[in-house]
Formats: sequence, C-alpha cells, structure tokens
Amino acid sequence: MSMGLSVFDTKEDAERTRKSIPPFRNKSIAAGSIDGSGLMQATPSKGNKTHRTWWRPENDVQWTSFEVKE
Amino acid sequence: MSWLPVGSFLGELEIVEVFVDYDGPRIFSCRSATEQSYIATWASEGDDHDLWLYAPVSPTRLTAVRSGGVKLRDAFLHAEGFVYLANLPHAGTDGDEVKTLAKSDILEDWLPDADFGLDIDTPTTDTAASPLELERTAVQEGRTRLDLRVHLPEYFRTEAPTRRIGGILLALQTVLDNFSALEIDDTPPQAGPLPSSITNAAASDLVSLTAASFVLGIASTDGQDLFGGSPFSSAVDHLVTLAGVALEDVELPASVSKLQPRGARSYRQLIRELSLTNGDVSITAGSPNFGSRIAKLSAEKLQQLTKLLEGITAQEPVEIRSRMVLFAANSNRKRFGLRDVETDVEYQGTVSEAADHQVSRATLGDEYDATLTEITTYEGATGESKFVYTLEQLVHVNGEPNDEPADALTAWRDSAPPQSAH
Repeated sequence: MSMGLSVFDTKEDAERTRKSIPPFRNKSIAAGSIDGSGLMQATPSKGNKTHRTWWRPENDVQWTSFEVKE
Repeated sequence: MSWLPVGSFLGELEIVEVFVDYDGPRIFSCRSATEQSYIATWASEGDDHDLWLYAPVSPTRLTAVRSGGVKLRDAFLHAEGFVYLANLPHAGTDGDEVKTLAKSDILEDWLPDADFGLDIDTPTTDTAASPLELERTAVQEGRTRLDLRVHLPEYFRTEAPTRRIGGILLALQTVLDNFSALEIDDTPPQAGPLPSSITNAAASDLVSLTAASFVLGIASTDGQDLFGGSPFSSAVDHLVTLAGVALEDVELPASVSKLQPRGARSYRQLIRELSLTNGDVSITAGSPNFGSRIAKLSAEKLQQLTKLLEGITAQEPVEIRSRMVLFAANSNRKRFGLRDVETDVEYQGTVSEAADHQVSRATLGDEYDATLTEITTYEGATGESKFVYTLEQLVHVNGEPNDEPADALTAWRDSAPPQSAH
C-alpha cells in the first residue's frame, strides 16, 4: 500500500487550486523537501496544470517535516 | 466517491469536460440525455457524504465560464436557471438526493473564491485557414489575401481589445500604402498625404475574423487586385518577406533602408503595434501571383525588432518655413535647389506632387516663401545621420503668378550635396 501527497511547482499554483475548490478554501499550504524515496507522478488537469502526486509508503511521516506557510 | 447524482430528476448525466481534477473531477461540465448542460463543483466534504452544486448553462454561458469571462462563482450566483444541490453518500448511490436551491440558500462556503476563473482557450469563431487553404481562396477570389494572427495572452475567447486591434489595422494599412507606393514610384512622397492613385491601389478590407488566437483576415478591396498582379499583391509579398528576415541577418538594415524613410517608419509602427500585444504573431499571405507565404514573429522577436527598427529608421519629418531664393529647378526630375535668404544655407531635394505645379511655373533667382520637410535618417551601421528634403510649397514673395514655362526651368547648378545647418 502507498499514499499520495499533492504537490505543486509553485505556491501560486497551490493557491489557485485552493481558490477553485470550495472545500479547500480553508486548507493550509505547506512547503518542504521532497528529497528521498518515493515516486513523483504528474497529475495535471486543465485548471490545475502543475499538480503532481508524490507517492510514498503507507504510514510515511515525511510530511511532518513540512512547514505550514499559510 | 461519486460526483454525478444517479436516479434524480436531473436525468442521466455524463461528464463532458473536467476543468479541475483533484483525486477525481472537482469542477466539470456535464450533460443530460436531453442535452441540458450543467456546470458542477464540489461544494462540501462530509464524513459520509459530499455536497455538489449544479447550475444549468446555455452554450454561450458555458463558453463564457470556460474562458474566464464569467467567474465560476457567478455561474452559480447568477445562474440562468435554478441551482441544484446534490447530496451524494460516499457508499453507493441509492441515497443520492437532489433539491432545488433558492439563490439565498447557497452558502458562501460552497462557492469558489470570488476572483477564481477558468482560463481555457475557447475559440468562438471558425478556425483560420492554413496557408494552402488561404492560397486556394485567393486564387478563387482572384485577389491577394493576408491573415494576421495575433495571440493575446489575456484573452481566452476569440475576442480582442478594439483599441489595440484598431491600432494594428491602421498601421497595417499604412504599411500597405507605403509599400505599394514603392512599387508604383521609385521616389514616392516622403511627407504629406499620398496620392489617391496609390491609396486606392493599396486599399484593403477586413473580410474575416477567425479563431486559433485572433486572426484578422485582410483582402485587397474588390477590383484593385487583378489576380495578384497589383501593387497591393507586391506590397503584401514584400511585407511577409521582410517580416520573415531573421534579426541577426546582416541584410536587415539594408532591407529597411530600401523602404525609404516613410515606408520604414510605417513598418516600424506596425511592428511596434504588434509588439504591444505581448504575444506571438504570424502573418500568412495567399496570392494567385506568388502562392503562399508565412512569417512567424515571437513576442520576443517583436520586442527586439522594435528596438532595432528604432535605430535604423528615420525620425518624424520636421517642417522648415523660410524666405528663400530658387537657384535650381528641374521639372522633369522633380528636383529643386533653394538658398535661405537669412542664413545662406542651401537645400536641395525632391519636389512633392503638391508643389510640382508651383515649381514648374517658378523663376530662377526670385525669392519665395518656401515650405520644406526635413527627415533625418540615422544609419545604425555607420552611425551617420543624413538629411532628406522635400519641397512642399513654393509661394512667390510678391504673390505674382509664376509665368515661366516648365521647359525653361531645367537649369541645374552643379553643386556639392547640401550642407545642412543641423
């Protein structure tokens, strides 16, 4: 089993996605390193061009090193 | 998880286009079996169900939303019909429920941010012809065609700002006028209005507006282009060929200089207008005479070309009015020589069409109130400036009619090129 973490090329792209989807409007954006193991998959859509899914092992805790920006 | 209600009064729905995907469709358009289109957005996430908003849209409204002309939130707040709230349980579809919402029942939290709009290219007219199709049309119509394709970065429908396009069209017609003038006359007037014989031959019409960015279809005005063998056709050929010259081509400055000051200035103005769109441009021509041509100008090339042309083209004409003595005139060659009474500065140059009759009846050695235009040409390659003079008006100081016959005025004093006081 594995789990996916949504990442964007730029903060602006993450903010645009947050604006577009109502349930995300109160979500936070975090920044962190994506070094290390895992697989990056491009998962764009027309209104969300730089969205990628970072696939990590289940119960992975790499995300805890991310810092919430806003 | 599902995103389409099943078994509701909205009918059997199928997704047409997903605009935002995030672990599945989140914003999309869909259509019922009865051809009714809807815009849908994920509105709320619950523990055991999700809420979705559905707004019916006409084809025109869908185009406006898709291209960002109507913000996504407004598609729901200013819907063309009722807005529907779909409650979709996470497990199965048996409990799917849809109810009609009054505008006041739409919660703020269910809507996208106020300034969020989609920005998907949405052509709203037919697609422009390929170069070969344009050539075929030109042959069928018996006249040269020119397609000017402008990519406007901020526009996602086949629309464009009137002011910007107006500037481009005016600059384009001016180039066609001046390039046609070069085809008709080796030394066309460099100031003042062009003769109607030239502007009529160069006249063009806006004949189409098509998509793939914003494409202006231009054609020679009916009756002016005789199956491509006209100044207009040559001017179009000249324009596309010149626009295709690479920036680093050492022949470019010489090619621009051959346009003479007036033609060069008009070309510079057209390139400047195109550059102001901040987008890529392509110019496609089709003609019964020369086949098809295409020149592509990236936004970057347009900016660099604008700077380059500033350096190698002439400045705006300066008017000189003074009392002068006519010391030389040649009616046949349309040349003149005048000496300023006060400064003794001599001017030699070309007689304009407007002043031709006055010069042909003038008397050598008499004083005149003369009006000249001076154009300064800066040669980028050599760094030198040249002054070109055109006689626009010649009025005898006594107001007496000039009575010398034209044939008598062929005296021409051999002299060095004029030493300008500038």
